[in-house]
Amino acid sequence: MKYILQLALKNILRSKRRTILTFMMLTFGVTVYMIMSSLYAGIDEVSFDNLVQFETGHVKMRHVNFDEDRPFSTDNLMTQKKEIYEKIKKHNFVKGVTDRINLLAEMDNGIDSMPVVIVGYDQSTDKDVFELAKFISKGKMEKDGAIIGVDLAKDMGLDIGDIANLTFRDVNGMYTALDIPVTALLYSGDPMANKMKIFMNIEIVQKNMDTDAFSEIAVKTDNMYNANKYAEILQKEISEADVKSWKTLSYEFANVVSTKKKAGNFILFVILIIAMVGIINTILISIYEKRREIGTLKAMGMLDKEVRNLFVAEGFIIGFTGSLFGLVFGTIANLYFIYHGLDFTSMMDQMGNMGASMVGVMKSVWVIKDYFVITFLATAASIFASYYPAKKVMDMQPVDCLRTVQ
Amino acid sequence: MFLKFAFRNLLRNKKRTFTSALSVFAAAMLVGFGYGWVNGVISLYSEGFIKYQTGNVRVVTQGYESREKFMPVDEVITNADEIAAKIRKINGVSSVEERIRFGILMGKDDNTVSAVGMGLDVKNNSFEFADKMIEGGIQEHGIYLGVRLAESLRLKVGEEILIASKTSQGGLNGIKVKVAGIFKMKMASFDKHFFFLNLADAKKLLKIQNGSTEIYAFTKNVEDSQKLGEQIKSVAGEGLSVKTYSEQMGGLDEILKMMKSIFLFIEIAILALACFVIINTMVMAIFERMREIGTLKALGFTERDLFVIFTGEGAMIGILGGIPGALIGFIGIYIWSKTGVNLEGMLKDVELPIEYVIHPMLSIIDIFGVLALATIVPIISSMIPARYIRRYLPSQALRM
Repeated sequence: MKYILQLALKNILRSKRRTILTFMMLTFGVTVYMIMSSLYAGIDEVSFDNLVQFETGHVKMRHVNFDEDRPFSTDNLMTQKKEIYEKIKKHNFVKGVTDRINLLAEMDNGIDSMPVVIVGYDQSTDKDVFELAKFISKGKMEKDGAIIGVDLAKDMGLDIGDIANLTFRDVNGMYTALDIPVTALLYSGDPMANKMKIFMNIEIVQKNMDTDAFSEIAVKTDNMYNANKYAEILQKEISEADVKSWKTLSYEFANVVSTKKKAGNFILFVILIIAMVGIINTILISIYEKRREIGTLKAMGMLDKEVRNLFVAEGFIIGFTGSLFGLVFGTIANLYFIYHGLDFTSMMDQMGNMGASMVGVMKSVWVIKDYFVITFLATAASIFASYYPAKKVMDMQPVDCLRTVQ
Repeated sequence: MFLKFAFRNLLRNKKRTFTSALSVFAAAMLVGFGYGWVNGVISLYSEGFIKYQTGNVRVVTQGYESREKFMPVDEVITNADEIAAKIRKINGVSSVEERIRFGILMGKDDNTVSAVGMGLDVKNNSFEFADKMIEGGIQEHGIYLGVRLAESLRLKVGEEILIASKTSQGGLNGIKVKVAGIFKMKMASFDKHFFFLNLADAKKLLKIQNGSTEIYAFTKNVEDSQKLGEQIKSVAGEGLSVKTYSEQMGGLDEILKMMKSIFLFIEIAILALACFVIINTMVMAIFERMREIGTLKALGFTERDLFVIFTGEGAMIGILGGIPGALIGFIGIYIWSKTGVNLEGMLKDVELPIEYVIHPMLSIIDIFGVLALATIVPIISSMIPARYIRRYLPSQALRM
């Protein structure tokens, strides 16, 4: 076996240009695939983390009749806080519970006005579920102050210490005005939040809304990956609310992710096909060129099978080393994407909300699985591809081969 | 004669010829399909922008432009009607519209939504919402709501709503209007957030005495936008900002153009991939027929002749597969372009001026382009293996 491999290696080195060409196709393909796969993985990780820590918690409860198309209707408000909390808290897997209220308001700076979303959060319990503090880029959370999205602040010309003027309708349909000092700026992974959200103490909001109701309850559990199961358990006991896990809530987003994965797999498939065709070609030509040598080997007693294996080994070496080189180049390229990242800030400003919860700079992450998958698939495909032309060798007669003039 | 030769050679191994042609066929079909699809989406996209968002050329005050995202109502072009009249006289202009856009919160009963109002000539405008009405119709006064906005506010035709907005003087004003119609433009951003008003009603609400905030000019041909922009600049006067659609879209227009060329590149790559199969087939054919090649050479065929024969053979495979493939792709696109593809589910929440129903499209020039591509790529790729013929002397080839 070792002898055959050695022979195959020497054969490969005999026509360097052809080998390099086949090689390059594989290397290039593998490199591109690795970069993409890591980038997608990076986007997923950051986006899901952001979503859970900022927006959904592990499990979220809303009014039973919550209407996706009328998110700010006061009909969506819930009131039985005490009862629901009791039912939630008796479970061991629950690590934190908090409630929030969302409403639509208009912000005015004397010259211009803009629609904004006010989020009232419970200052004592919010940190048990969310990590709002992580997303604060300047200033700090205060009891009577507001946290306002960075882009919103920029648009309205506000900074820390300025007063934000808000008008909205209370539960009775009356217009109410609220002036609140800005004490912190928010830079979240969600561009829409940066553009139109303002966070403040839920008590202030409820007082101005003339209600003690809230829009949603968010729960943190001991394991976010069991959220679907926990959501089911909670839903069984709590009939007052509609219980959803972060996975369900990010369903559409998750769909986008799985589409991207499919695209990635398709690219891998195309790369493999290209590589296979290239390898078939290389081996085929190599066999026709070496007919005399094949004749000599056979005449000297090498078995048909061994000669075939010799050519399969050529394919194997090309495939294996080609994919290894690809992995090396891919790793080097990934160093840049992982430690430096891609800056999409200017593009995001153009495109607005892309539906995904992500920050301007995207960073890849290592996907260890890829190394094994690529090596295995590329090598297997090469062996498979070289087997078909190599089989031709078995039908050749030594005498005929030797008579060939080259 | 050479081509006859090549054709007969093709028939010698029918199975192989068929599979090779089939792979080129599939690739060409994919290319034809992809081309029409991409073209359809991209032109729909930029047409949508022009029609619904930017106009071919738009005139606003410079102050309006810098505060565009707030849709200010105090940045009024006071002599808008004069300017509009002047623009109308320019050659190649199909229509000119005065508009006022403003953002407000609309509240009814339990619900509050943020909406964009637009005051315009309700009968003649590029939105053509009068034809897209699903309930009600054009009246003297009244408000026209997007279908999802109306659903969200639970408003029906004939009901009244109070709309309150900041005026051009900075105060607050409200008017009560009847819902005259509900339209469905099949675009998320309009159906969800837009309502239209008569220009006069909008001016009353916003307390604008003379003029309007925006003037949109539309041309018959997109290519004239740049020229029209310059002509308008010369008549518009000081303090106004005149911008064509591509200037308004900024980088987006460039991205769209870039996308077109990227797709062209991908298409060539797909075809080239399919042509690998041709290369493979031809390599096999040449080595198989080395003895015959020797005979022909000995009989006096020049290397060029043989090169033509084998290139012809490969090219025939490619063309036999490629042209029908591309044609079937086009027929598919043609049928599709008539029926359209409804992507409502996917685009329901995408707030871009793109219609739910996409019609892929192809122009005659595109058809010839793709056909040329489907012919040239196989010819080039079959030249690659045909080189092998030159390697051997007749005596050597005959002995193989």
